[in-house]
Amino acid sequence: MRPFGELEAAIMAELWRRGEPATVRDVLGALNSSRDLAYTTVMTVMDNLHKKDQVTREMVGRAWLYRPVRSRAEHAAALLQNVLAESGDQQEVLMHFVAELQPDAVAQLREAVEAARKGARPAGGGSA
Amino acid sequence: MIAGLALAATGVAILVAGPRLANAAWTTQAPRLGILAWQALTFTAVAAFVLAGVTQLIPITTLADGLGAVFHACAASIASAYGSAEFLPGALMGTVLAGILPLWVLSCVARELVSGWRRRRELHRSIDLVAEPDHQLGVLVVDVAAPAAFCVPGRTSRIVVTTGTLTALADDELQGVLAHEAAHLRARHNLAVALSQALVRAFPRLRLFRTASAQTRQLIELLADDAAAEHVDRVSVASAIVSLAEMRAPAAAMAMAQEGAALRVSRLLEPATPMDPWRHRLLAGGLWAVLLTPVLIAGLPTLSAALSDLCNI
Repeated sequence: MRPFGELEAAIMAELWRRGEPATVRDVLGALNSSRDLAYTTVMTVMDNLHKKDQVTREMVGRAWLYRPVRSRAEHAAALLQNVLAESGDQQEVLMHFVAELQPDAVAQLREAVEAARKGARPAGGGSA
Repeated sequence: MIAGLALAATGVAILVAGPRLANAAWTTQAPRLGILAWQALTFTAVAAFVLAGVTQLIPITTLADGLGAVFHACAASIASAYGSAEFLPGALMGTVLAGILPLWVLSCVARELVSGWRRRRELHRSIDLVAEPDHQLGVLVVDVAAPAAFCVPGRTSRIVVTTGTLTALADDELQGVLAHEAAHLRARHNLAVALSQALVRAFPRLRLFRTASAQTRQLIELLADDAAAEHVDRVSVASAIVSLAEMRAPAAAMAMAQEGAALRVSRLLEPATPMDPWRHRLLAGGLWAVLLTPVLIAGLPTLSAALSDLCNI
């Protein structure tokens, strides 16, 4: 999954925010409340998003109506999966709290933790 | 000549024996000192070879006569060197070690930093697109059932957790996770990892650098665990590690990560007694000795030359 470019991200965010199909002009109007983009710029980027299968489009009247292929939640899930799949080699970029473990190893560690919890409480409330 | 050989021998010795530091138990007892030790070893290994090259290029015995004389002696020796055939390989070797080696290492560091920065920028953008800030916790929350907690360092650093994490963890566990990630960001652990990784990039076949990088990754986790254990009790931090691991689908897990998490948990549950201050001082002294050895070897001819010059006067 390739990450979105800056303008691509802004356009996807706007499409998700609307929750309904939008034309280039709709998106341009929303984005230009905070910046000054040319119609052709937004059109080109939305066309690229279509080529990358991030949005579908259908001709309604005389304009293309664009709609995200994946919902924001689906996109989030895919992104997370990507992030989680990245191994420790990415650690300078992103530091996971915990890496993946084999189930039997996890079970052993859980036992150890529970034993420590039990051990700590009756011993007089002092934390270990 | 002797200095050059001694320096090269020092470099080789560190390359061969250095990885053994991974077997030392004290690094998990004092992770910060452990990271510094790996940095000292890797830096010294490179520095020894660079200095070996320098001693090949500069007739160092004349340093005592002052800088102007060095250039003069340099020019003279270069002029005479073209006449003698045996000096040429030495000069070539010196140029490679003193000139090309540091440039190569620096370029690898630069590339590592730039690629990390670029990837982080992409990640920031991707995450901002799908995450909502939780101002109370000071984190970004992604609405995904799969548990995950991580931080993305950088100028606009972020801690990201999923809703799956928020629902699965008890309050003290969550506080432990957040303190752990905040410690990574505050201490800029990513820089230590990036530096170690840059050396792997520079010398991918040398075991010292691979071991140093893997150990650095492991030790920063221990450091962050210790920081988290100052906010909540150690058992809660250990419990958070296990809780998040329990919910992960077991995929092709790396052996390193396995040992890593198990070590973290057992270390949190049975904290080692703090290192004896004298032992700590001794080890820190050892680090300085490692760092200074090449400089001393390189400087020895200068020193002896200076002394003999004094004797002549």
